[in-house]
Amino acid sequence: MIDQYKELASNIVKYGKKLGADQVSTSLVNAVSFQVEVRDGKIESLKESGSAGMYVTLCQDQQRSTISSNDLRLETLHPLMRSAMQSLPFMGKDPFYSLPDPKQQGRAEVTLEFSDPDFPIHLSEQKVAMAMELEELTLALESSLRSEQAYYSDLVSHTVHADSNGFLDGYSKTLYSVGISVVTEDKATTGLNTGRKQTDGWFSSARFWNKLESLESIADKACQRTLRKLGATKPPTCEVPVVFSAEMARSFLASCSSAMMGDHVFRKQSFLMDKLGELVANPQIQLSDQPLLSGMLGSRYFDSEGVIAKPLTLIEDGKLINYMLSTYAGNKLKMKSTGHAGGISNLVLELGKYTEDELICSVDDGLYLTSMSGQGVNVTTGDYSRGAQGIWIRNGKLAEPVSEFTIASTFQQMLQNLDLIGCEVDTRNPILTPPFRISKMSISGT
Amino acid sequence: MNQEEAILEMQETVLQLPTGNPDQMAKALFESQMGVTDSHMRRVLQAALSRGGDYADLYFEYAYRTSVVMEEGIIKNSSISISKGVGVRVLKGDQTGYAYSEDLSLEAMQRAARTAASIAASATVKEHEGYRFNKVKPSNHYPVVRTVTDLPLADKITKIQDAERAAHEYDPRIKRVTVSMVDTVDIVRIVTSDARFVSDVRPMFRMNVHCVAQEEKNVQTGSSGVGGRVGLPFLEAEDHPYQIGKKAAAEAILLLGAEQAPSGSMPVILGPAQSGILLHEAVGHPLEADFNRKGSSAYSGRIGEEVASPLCTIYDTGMIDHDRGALNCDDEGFLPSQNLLIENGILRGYMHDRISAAHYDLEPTGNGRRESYAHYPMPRMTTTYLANGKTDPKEILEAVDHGIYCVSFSGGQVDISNGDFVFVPTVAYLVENGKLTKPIKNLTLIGNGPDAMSRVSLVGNDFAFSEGIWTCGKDGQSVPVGVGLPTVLVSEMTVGGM
Repeated sequence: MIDQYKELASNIVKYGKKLGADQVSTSLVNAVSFQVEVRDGKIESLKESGSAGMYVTLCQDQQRSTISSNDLRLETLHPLMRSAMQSLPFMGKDPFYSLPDPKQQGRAEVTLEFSDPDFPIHLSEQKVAMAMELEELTLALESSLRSEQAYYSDLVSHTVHADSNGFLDGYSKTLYSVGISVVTEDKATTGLNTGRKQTDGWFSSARFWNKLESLESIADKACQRTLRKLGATKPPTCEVPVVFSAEMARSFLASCSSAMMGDHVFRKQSFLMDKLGELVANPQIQLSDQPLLSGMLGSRYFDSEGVIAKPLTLIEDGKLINYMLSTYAGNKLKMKSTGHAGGISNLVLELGKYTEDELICSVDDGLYLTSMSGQGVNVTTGDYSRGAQGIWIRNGKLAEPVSEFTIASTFQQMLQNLDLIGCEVDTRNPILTPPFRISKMSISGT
Repeated sequence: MNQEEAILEMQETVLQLPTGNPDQMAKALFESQMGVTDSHMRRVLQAALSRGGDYADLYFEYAYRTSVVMEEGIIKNSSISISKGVGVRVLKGDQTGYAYSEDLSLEAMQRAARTAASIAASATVKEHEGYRFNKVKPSNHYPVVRTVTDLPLADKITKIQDAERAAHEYDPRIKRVTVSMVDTVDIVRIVTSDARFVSDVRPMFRMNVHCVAQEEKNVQTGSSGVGGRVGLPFLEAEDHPYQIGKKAAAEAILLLGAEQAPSGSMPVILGPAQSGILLHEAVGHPLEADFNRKGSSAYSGRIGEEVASPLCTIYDTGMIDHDRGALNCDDEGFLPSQNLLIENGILRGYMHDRISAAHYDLEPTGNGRRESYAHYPMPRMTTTYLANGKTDPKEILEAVDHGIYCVSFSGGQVDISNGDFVFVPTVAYLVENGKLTKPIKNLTLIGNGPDAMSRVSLVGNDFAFSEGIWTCGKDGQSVPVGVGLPTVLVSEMTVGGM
């Protein structure tokens, strides 16, 4: 598959040059996936997909035009490219657009394990049986639970990138996921919400089959996470410490990382602009981007422009050291690409020494945050205000569940107040972070 | 004729969309150009039901999308994107088998059909005699003779420059302006094993301005957009580029002087139009019938019960002409309806797709939607709105001593099971003694669906639909939707500031 795509990508680059483009780049992605959802011991839906996409950027004399198509036949792609070339004279000249410096391009000299050679391992029937088994295991734990859905999915993708610098490389990745969500009645005692329910779940996801969490463990977590929400009340409006679960920590760091992306910085849409070298966070914070971790979800040999992937320090002892830059963002900021076209690889917050229980123990009166919602995140200004759910902490212990309230602060204050860092990491996504405590946030409730 | 015009003419002959009514366009595209004949469709449906499925449908789609982006005064990029494919769905009771193909050859389509067929487990089924297709000709809620896609690139650029200029002229503190114009023509053809045969051509236009304002270290952003299932006459009728440019700039400048929002429980006035996202989150999602069929919504089994203040009557419909949520037929081929969800506070109905309608033994409501051929349909909103009330909006403002007034929003989210929802204002004001006093920022509103709706204490007589800018996400599928609402007072809601 990769070889076939390399041939097509080379053809496209050559054809672009022939049409008169001075710079051509193209990416090709193909993905084949399987997903089954089951409910109450029956298949709810079963879906198989195979899709392809090709993206071509043509540039002539600093003018740029792009096309994309899921029809990969040359008789479709070539006319599309011709019409893109014809639109070029209408484009403004952008002196900052360029392909990467060829010296920066290539493949990191390591071996990254992100493709399971045995993919997909199981027959469809076995995949369905796995989702059914997970559902059975979960429902057996607690009779009040009903299934919303249990699912199994897998995916193999092939990506090739080529450009008129002569870069041509590709890779395949695999991904397996299995999970469940359950629901239970939780009638509200006041008001009109007599149909209230609570739902939650758990899933595991990994590039290798044998790295998935056991079904028993997924079932157990899904059950506990749902039951702990029962009887939630609205907390008072106050200011307290907040312990972020690993998942919530990930959500916070994902937003932070976008403020470190070069395109946000040169667009003046980052609360971290003009802050290089300054103390922007609690001095114990060490944050980096680590593309070369074997087996992790964000690992890569090169970025989406073919720039070699390398580890990059972002925050050291609380000081902002680097932004993450694509070639274009680098040109705008008079810096070099850091290999971050296409975003973060694995964003890593260095582990602290506290278990999650110890973090909770450190709080007399405060919140253990388990869920956030809404778009109240502004990386330009740093404003942060989110809908929230969680469990109230009293005297260092988890007490009653709370919901229908908001938490608010600013990124600037949260980074300063991030004072205790956990030691257990959740590897289900490319942001590798333990739970942590933020010593003070505004809670808005009753 | 200058050189630029000559070039554009060439471009148009290379990639020209067919013309005519939706059925003629779909026929010209799928049948004449791509070779998908009625006989092919019959054979693919046969393959889809070869394992004993109850029902099958084919969803053909061809989407042609053009976009132009201007940033820092430079037309930075123009792009053309083509996406085509067919989705094959097989139903066996409540169960769905789905597969799709981006290759429209008979062999590839049959392969997808056999994959989808495996949801039904019978070994072999006698092949059907062949289907008679009954063409459904829906009324057209967005007839568009000339789309924005037809506009020469040079003219698009002029419109974009107008918007950019308007933003910069508004105030020298506007430091950066980004303008985008995106137009899509989506041609679909739906063919079902129960003989339904519908074609639709769905234009979608969207223009957006985003501004960054800076005053010393204070940086704020503002944005504004327009759009809908509209064509060139929409762009020609009013000076939309100028207006959205000015509006985006005004928002960013206003926020430079905004104060931190308060926190706690207080009265909230929702201004007309955009505040309709309250309904979308608080009521809309939880009334999508798939959640109710599975019993996971806070509104499950509550038809006929009081779930909102008697001042609330709420509809969902795909029949608002040219609205972003409009649909001539849904993505299962059913016609849109005027769907009464809540009548004077009493829950009357859900929004259905084929599966949920069959489950409840009702007619589908025209809410079966999907993002593209790569997805199977599910119950989704189209345009959701709260019917007009009787109160003068001025009286509503005067009724509040201390609270907030919301004008525009960046979005919202809901937890279906417990009914908690948030929505996030971008422009909002503090209300003191019946007057708007200061602009406020950094806030989220949170409420519980039935509780918040029971606290709707005044409904204005100034109903308006929002500009066509909203996209709704559910289970990883995005679809365009519309909302509308008159001024509304919610007597108490949690305002999440600091």
